Amino acid sequence: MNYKQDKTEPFWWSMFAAGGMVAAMLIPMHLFVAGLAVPLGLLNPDTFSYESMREIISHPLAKIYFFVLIVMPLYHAAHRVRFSLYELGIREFSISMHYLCYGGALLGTGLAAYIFFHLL
Amino acid sequence: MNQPHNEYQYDTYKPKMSPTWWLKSRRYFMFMMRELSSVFVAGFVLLLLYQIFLLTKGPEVYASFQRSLMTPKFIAFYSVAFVFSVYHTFTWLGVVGRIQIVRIGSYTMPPKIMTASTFVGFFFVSAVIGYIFLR
Repeated sequence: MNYKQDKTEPFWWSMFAAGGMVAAMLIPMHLFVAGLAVPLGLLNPDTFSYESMREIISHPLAKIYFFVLIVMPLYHAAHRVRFSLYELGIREFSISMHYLCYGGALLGTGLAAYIFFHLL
Repeated sequence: MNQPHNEYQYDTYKPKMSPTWWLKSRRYFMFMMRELSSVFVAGFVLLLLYQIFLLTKGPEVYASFQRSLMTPKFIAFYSVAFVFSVYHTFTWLGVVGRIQIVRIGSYTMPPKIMTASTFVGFFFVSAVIGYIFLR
């Protein structure tokens, strides 16, 4: 029997772990502030107005912070989706699940990098 | 015959699972919900990325997106995603103590203290984010 060793797995796993940590520590409050605080009347809508968002995001550290905040959970989700699909009995498509899931995360990373460091 | 002949050819063992096995027990269901939480978190960060992208499209486009955030559909999405993200936080930090074992010399930090300290960190970080935006 020839076993194919998957040498990329540790890398994806560590991205999953790091992404899970970002998602666990930062996302609930950011989600609340971004989507629920304004409808609940806890936050002035102007906090995220065009001008103030532009001002926040113009700072290089804020850019890096939001970049990490957005990108890392994608790797976390990619890993979980991959294994959830296995657990639902889906094995492999003709395209490897690696490409489908982690490829999506890499695509999101590229898109975020383009928006943060080129467009903005 | 393209395949090389192999004297010991076994079929790979593939356990048969019904696609709905996770509905049969509460624990399995919660496990799948934990997995699903990552999808909601990813959905939120992509929405945030889109919002930041709209900054490049000018104040009017951005403002119309902001107004759409007040519609019931968006509020419903954010409410559900918030519950899932909190569930992720509790499951994730709950196992930190078992995964991250800290040893100082011969002393091993009790897992409960590890987990508790990550929760303290979570509430502290959330308070800081809340303070920055909500004050």
